Amino acid sequence: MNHDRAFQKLMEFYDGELAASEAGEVRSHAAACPECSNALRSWKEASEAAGGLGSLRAGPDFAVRVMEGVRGKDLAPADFTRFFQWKTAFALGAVFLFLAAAILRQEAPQGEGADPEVVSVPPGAESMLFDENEFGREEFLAALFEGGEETFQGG
Amino acid sequence: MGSEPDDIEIIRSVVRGDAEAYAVIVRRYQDRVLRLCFSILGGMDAEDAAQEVFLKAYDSLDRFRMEASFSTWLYAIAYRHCLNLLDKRNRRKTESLDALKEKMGERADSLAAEPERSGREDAAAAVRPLLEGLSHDERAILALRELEALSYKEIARTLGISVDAVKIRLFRARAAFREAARSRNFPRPETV
Repeated sequence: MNHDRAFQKLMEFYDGELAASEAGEVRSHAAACPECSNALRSWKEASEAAGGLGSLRAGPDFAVRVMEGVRGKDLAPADFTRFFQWKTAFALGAVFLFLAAAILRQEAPQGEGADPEVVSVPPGAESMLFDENEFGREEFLAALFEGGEETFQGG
Repeated sequence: MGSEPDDIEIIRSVVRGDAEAYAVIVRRYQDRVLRLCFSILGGMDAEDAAQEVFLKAYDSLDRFRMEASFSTWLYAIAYRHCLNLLDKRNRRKTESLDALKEKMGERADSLAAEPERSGREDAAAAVRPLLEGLSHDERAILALRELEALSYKEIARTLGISVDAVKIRLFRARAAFREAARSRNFPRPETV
């Protein structure tokens, strides 16, 4: 194996990512190559320095605190999802009812809180029944109470 | 003497409603998740972040595919959570520094440059400055490789990048980390 190829594979060799046959070739080359040996040494230094992080341990109450948080959720994840869906449906239902009530209130203001001055009769409805100026009302009433087709026709 | 149940068995129990079984998972992975958070965050609030990771993972357990590796999935959650925290922290820092500059002028710069103090006095705290020259990806890759001994493929899956990208970033991370260690005359474990 030439140097370029070996150097390209060197880090994979260092990390144990190469197949045995290829690893053997890289090892043979690196043993005789100062540049590859130096690179391997420098990575070993980096690994040893990073090893300092390995001393890091979670505090003694770490798991206890996480589990307090888990219990605060009170439900297993699957149940929690179902609970959330139920809550969402409930909230949407409440919003719908609120909107429906508001619309009904707008359409029918005679109920509690409505203005007593407002009369909910369509405009002109009265005059449709009895218009003082409308021709025939007096005559119609006279004919009705006094009788006789002739009287009515005379209008 | 029965052996410890594996991750998947425990997760199935938790998803079925046995929330207390999750404590086994937490104890099994707490140090590893903490180390990853510490590496990416540079020490700040690493323990709080690690606890949040476990709570996030708990909330997402019903989305975990049982045939996948739980550790890789958990590391991926930890990685994303730490990036979010860093993003929030940077935004807060910028906003508060701007506000401070308005109030105090140039003295704010020197105050902001003061190193943050950590209560943890151990070898890990000594490694913290060596991570400063590395990008967050490089820190995560270095921690996952050097501390957790993940393969290139597992690291790639965890971070959502290609195996080639892992190799390139690991190469850079090692070089930068080694240089930082040398320039600070960092004591090697066998010489301490």
